Amino acid sequence: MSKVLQLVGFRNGDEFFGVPISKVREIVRVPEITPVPDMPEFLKGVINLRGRIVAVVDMSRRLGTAGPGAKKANRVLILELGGSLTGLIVDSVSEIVKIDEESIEPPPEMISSIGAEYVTGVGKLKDRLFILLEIDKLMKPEEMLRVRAADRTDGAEDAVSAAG
Amino acid sequence: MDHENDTIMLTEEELDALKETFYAQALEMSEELTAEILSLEANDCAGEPVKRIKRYFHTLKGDSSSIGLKAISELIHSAEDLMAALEDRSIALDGAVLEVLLKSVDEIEKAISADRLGSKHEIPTRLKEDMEQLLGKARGTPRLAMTEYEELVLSTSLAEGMKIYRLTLEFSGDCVMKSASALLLLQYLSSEMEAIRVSPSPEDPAIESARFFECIAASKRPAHELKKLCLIPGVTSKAACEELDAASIVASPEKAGTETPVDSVDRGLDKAAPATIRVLSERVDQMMDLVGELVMGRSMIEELVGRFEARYPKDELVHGFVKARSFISRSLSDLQRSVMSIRMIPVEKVFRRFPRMVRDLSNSSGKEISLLLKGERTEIDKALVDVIGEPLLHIIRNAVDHGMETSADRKKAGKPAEGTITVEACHRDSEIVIRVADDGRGMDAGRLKEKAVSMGYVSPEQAGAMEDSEALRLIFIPGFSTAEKVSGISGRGIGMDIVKETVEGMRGSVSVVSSPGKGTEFTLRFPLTLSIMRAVLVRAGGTMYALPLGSVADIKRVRPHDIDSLTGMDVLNLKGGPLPLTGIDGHGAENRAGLRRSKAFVLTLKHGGRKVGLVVDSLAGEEELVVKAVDDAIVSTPLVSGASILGNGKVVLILNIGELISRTLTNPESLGYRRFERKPTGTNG
Repeated sequence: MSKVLQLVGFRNGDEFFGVPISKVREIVRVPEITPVPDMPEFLKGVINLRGRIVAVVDMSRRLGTAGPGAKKANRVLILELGGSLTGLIVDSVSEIVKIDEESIEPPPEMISSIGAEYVTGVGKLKDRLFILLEIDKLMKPEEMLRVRAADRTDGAEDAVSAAG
Repeated sequence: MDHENDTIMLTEEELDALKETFYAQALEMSEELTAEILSLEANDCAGEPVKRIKRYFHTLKGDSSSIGLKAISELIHSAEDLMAALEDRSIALDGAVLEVLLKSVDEIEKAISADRLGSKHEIPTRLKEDMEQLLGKARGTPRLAMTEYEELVLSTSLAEGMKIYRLTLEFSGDCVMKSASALLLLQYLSSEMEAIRVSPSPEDPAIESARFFECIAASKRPAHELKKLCLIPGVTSKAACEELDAASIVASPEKAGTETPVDSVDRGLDKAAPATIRVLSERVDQMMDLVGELVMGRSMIEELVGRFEARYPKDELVHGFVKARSFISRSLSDLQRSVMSIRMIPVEKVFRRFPRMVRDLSNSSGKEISLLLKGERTEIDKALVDVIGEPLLHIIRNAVDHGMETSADRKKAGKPAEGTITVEACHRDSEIVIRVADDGRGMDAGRLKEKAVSMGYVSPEQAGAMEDSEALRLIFIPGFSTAEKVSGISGRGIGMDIVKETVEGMRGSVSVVSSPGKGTEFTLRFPLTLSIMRAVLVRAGGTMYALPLGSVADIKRVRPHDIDSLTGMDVLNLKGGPLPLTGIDGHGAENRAGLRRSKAFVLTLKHGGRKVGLVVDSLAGEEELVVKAVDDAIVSTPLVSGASILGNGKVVLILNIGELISRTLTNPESLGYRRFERKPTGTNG
């Protein structure tokens, strides 16, 4: 008997990703974002989620794969990680995916634009491959700060690709 | 276990709630205990404090055994015995006794904290042994519990050749008004004997329900004569008179138990204290959140009424709306104040940790230091209580460790051998001010500058130009204060940069003044309430920001030609001197372009004795904001102290004025402050 995983599938750039549905509190349209000074590019700012103030991270900027930019289909995945809420802006949310745990394979060396350390595995559904994200790690403040430090050193390239 | 059978009526949840109450209460009590035990040392008296300590121990014992913490209740039982021994002077209050008492409280705390987390804490056998040894010593010299005065009477009576008796008198069944009868009897006997102690005392209402009363008395008469004298028809029906051995007066077994006297003390105190209820602090926080929501709702209504009024100025409903709005406003302010007052706690709760620490530190460092606490009754926000302990502790620790000289050095400098650290709290205007002052050697601005230069924080030229007051602020640079060769005392602590960060995180400020040879004084200021604040809203680079009203000293409209440049920094020339200008992120550049373009506003911000001018595009009014935490650790810039949601649902960031000023006035490149890439502002791709 193998377990069936339920994932929220979303598209970012040319790739499909999945995060366990248990980590996603809700999915909202991109609301007005208040920018925060001093923060790296990928941290878009904070939003008002029914009275709670929640930080939102831009998935493309976070991974360094700038997408085509703001579109109507953009959504914010409100993730509940370690008791606090964080928003993740993605290009579009496709569907809820059910997948056999056994069909998930370990991540190959270089599978996508993102580092292997953020990937739990690769799943296959119909003909589509999608990347199962190690979302806790991707969104961990310490990891973010590490990226932030890197952001500082090669901020110039980042600024170029950030023209969205 | 027995107690589980007793509590079988409780559901799991109820038991948990009960336990949580117990933990909170017990930890609070253990703090009180530490303070009381230390006061024993200071006064060396065995009166009221001893009674209070016994009462705390007693309550703790009962509670902990009811919750199944057997080891703890046993330890407390021994501690109670020790207190009883102290009270009846069968043991003297010395360092060893104090140490054992303080350690016991520590162990109680540890065991409670452990149990709270679901783990077990073993009480060290060493402590138990020490305790037993002291108790053994006490038992070796069992004596009747006597106050100093009673002892005096006793010894003078003995010197006059009197004998000591214990009279046990039974009230006769038809005795009415036992209190008056007992008094009359004692008066009648006063020519024959000296009553040293009567219990229950005739003044005690408890005597009316008593069947016996007991009297320790000194008399020249033999026992049988005294006994006869005591028998008065209608008052006493039986009398017993027993001579006590003067050298070792032994308390009768039923009197030696600590339970009865402690209980009576308990009742007495309950009567005196104002009626209180214990509420989980989360509930108060919840209430505060709800008030916050209401304040937000009020802003929404205000905005809507304003718009309605603008659209239909002549509508008859306008007047009604305005009236309803001000009614809600008034009640809400009252509600806010009362909820706020629930959250206010005397700062004593923080202060009372300090005597113990200063005592330990002065013992271990061999310096003579006395701690002076002032304004302990000053009430501060509960949220502050939880966080200011650590920074204050650090400042005090530093004062002991670095500030204070040894007694020998102090004498050489013509100062009293004993150094004094003063910790004082007070309300000033709408601020809470906490001052930590020492009369030690003070800080040497010159040495601070040297160190800053050698560590590469400032160039020698910058150091040379630096005012002494500015040099003192160098200690707040991350890594500066902790880099010093550190002794065991303050080395492991947090650095002064963390002190500053913690204080500013609570929208407070910290400043320091020092004069060599005279001492150092730290001043911490906090807003009176942390959850609601009056703010000035401004717009800069297309984004709205909030500034605490209290930090805005002045608002000016400026044109490009008003701005001067001074050593690369934009300044506004005012009568009082040039005012350095800055943008939202603490770097002047952001607003400079806008400033050149047209007119703008400059807000003079003051914080911790320093001032800068903040350049903004426009003003957006003044509003009461509910301060909210940002729900994420990712947003962790010291520039932002909090956020709030406006009436229109938009999020506005509250700027940390302290950080803004620090960034403006210190050169970020050379000071090694947190540096980030400047983002192009106002552009969104």
